[in-house]
Amino acid sequence: MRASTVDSRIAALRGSLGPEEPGARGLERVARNPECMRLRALTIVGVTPATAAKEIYGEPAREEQSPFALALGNQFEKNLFDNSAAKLLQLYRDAGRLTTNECKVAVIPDLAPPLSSDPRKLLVSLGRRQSETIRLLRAKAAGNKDAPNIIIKPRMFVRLLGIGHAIEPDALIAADADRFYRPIEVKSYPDRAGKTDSADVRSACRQAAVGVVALREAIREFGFRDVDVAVPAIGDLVLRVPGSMSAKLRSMTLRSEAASLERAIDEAPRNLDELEAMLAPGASLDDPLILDQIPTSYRTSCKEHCALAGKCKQQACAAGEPAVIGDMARELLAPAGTVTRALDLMNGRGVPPRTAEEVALAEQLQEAFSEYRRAV
Amino acid sequence: MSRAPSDRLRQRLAKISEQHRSALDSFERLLANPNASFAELDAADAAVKKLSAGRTHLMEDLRLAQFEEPDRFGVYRGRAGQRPMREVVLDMADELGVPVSPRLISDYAVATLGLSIPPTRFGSLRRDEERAYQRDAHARPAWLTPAINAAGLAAIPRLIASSAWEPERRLIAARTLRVNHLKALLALLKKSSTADERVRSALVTPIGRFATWLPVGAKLNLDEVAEKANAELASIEQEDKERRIAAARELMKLTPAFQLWGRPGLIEGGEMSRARAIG
Repeated sequence: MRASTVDSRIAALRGSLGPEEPGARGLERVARNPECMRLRALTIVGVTPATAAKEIYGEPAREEQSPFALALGNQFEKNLFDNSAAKLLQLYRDAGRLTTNECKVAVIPDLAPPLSSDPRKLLVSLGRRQSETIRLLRAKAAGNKDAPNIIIKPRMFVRLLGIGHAIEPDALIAADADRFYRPIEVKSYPDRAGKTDSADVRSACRQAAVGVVALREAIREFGFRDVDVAVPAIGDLVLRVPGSMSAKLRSMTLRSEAASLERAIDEAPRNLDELEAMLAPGASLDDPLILDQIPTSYRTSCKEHCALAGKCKQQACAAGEPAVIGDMARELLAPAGTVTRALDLMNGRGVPPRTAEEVALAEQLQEAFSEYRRAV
Repeated sequence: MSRAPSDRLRQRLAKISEQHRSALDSFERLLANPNASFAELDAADAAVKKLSAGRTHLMEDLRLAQFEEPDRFGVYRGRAGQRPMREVVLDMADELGVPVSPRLISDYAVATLGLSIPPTRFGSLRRDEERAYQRDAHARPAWLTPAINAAGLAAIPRLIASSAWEPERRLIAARTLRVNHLKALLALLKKSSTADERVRSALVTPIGRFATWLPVGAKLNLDEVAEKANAELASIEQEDKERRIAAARELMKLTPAFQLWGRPGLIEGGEMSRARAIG
């Protein structure tokens, strides 16, 4: 009953827009910038930033990834998962993580009818994927020795506001002796060890952490209590060997990523109440004027993951927010609130400093400016 | 000017329908005759069934011919006069010996016959087979069927099998995907060992893709690959076979249609299924 009440509240907030699954990428996006109320609001109601940019603000669709990167990613993944995931299995054997006998593979999309453009058939197909995933996870949780060692594209859920939001991690892995599974995130980024783009690695880790959260929810439903022990915050990244389509395996600790996600998810119900309180009765987010009222928290890193970054940056510029200069300026100039006020404090103009923090900032800025004048 | 293949097929269909009607009349006349023996009735019935199967066969060919009409897919490349695609696919599946993906059959057809069978065609081919089976289960000696999941006995639509195979060969248990992967690899190796130079060189790519333990760019030694595949197979096959035989016993308790096409897949309810729908 609660779910349906929440559902109708969410549908009302969504207005004319259809629901979308945020997926692992959408959930990890929230954890990247938990202070952005607009992003949280859209995630709660089930609208992606790309849809919001296109449908609500009428901005031309911006590709999230280059078509070349997408094609390479798809090819890399296909290469690993084709032929009953033979290459992925080999990768784990070579790493000493699976023995010859641990060769049980389940390919979830193969166990269900193909995806269809007909909404009813689509629901049946997704329902089958979900049922097959639950059956296999339950088998592992019960210690069934026929439980797969690798599950490709399982369909799992992360609960937000009492509703399961579907995610499909690339794969799950467990040796026979393991209590439960851990997520595998496949990325076609070249693995350059310490020189791999840290933003790419962070993003992959956050997506893997969504898998950890979903696995913990699943095993909790099966009656486990020590979920953190059964599903430690560890995930495997499968990256590409530079210059080839071969894969490389890296295990990553995801403690902080999983914790920040769980925190973001725990805070969500409060946000729905806050969100409704913030808007006029009957208002919905498909109206650009309404969406504009919801505060954002622009950061330079937003452009890495959010299609609304450009829009938010324009608003941040108009409001003189220090964040547009960079994340360091955002922290440093926080006592001033705006770039204009910071300039006033530096130049000793306008209203004198009102707080001790403003006094300290004014001194710091004036000192830095003097240094600059001397140097130039 | 030569006629389109669909016109020729329509003419043959008209002829076979006439023959079917006449055979049916003969059967009804025999039925009405109290002196007609069972053997005569049986022979008349067999003639009706044979013509019915022939008509179904022609209808499938007509469907394929219309699908390949030049105005829909460019220049007509003429499968008319060749064996129907389903029969070629059944042969390929038989040669590989285990349920396999459309992509492998497609690659195998290109390598061994130089024949292009796009993997995207298999979905409609399988649906046509199931519909034809529902119309007349005895119309063909073998059907292209999906593999069956040993857990739940539902179809695995993306793996192609043959109805002529024993049930345990069509079933997929926990380790079967790996077992079948190795068996398909051994079938490719066997074919390669007896084929001519063109086929042998065409099979190098699929063999290399299946022998995943080989380092990238390593020279392919077919004997070593076979030895390693056989060794792994020996360590996992027996347990897998036992699981499949046990599942086959359960499968044989189902109706004939479910034995071939799988039981309808169940969608589990409960807490986790309360997911928000897409679209």
